[in-house]
Amino acid sequence: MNKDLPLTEGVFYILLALIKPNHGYGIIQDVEHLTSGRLVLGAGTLYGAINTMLDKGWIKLYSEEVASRKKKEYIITNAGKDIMKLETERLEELIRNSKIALEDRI
Amino acid sequence: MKILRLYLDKDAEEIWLNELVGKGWALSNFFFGVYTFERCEENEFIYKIDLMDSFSGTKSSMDYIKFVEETGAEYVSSWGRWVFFRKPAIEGPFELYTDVDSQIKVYEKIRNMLGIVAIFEFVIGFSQLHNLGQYGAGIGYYSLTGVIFFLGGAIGFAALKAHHKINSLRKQKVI
Repeated sequence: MNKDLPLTEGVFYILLALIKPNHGYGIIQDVEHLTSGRLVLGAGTLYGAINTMLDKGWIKLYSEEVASRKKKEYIITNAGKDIMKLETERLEELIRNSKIALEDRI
Repeated sequence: MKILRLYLDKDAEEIWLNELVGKGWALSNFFFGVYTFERCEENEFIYKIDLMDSFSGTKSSMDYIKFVEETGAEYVSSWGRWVFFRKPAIEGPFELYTDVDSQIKVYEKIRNMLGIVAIFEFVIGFSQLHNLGQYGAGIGYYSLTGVIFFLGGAIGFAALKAHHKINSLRKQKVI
């Protein structure tokens, strides 16, 4: 199995929010919306996660217009999409087995 | 209003700042133990303190501050690697670190910084003692050495508290 798995919830959702170009505030909003308010990322947590994912090559800088004071935007890379696919497969296996195991009890 | 205080515990300091907001005083500046406050409405803000990876004024720290501001928080002040942010309370809860792993990283940073300062204090203290033993000196010199050891002890104790905090956070992680 890939040594980067399993991904934490936060990392998984940040990658998801970066399928399209996005900035810090946008990522926090999207993740909060996708989880119906369950996961509200803190700015410090998000900053650290973004830097880690940049190091791993899972995301990259999409745009940064310093002159116009526009917010820095990031976007997922192919490596990031690959890791998301692997994690999704892992989660599907868990759900599959969980449903079978729980149905046996009914 | 200005208040002089020495805090070695970030969490206690945050609680104190937010208590003062409850009384209508909002921190506007911090410098070397001197806290400056301005009038505000009761409970208008929530304050958070963070320890950055590098000193304020560096590109890396300005980058971090800009990022946090883009998420809707307001930069209040910074001193060394310490930074103060605030958010209007009506906007809801304000947390910079929302998962256990990143919380652990913050306390590790704090513990390591305090630990290094404490060790530094003890090294200076012992070298002072050595000099005193060799050459002797007046009461002022002895007092200074005492203060250095006391500071080293207090800071070392604070580093230990941060270490305990890390351990209790780690316990939350294990199933």
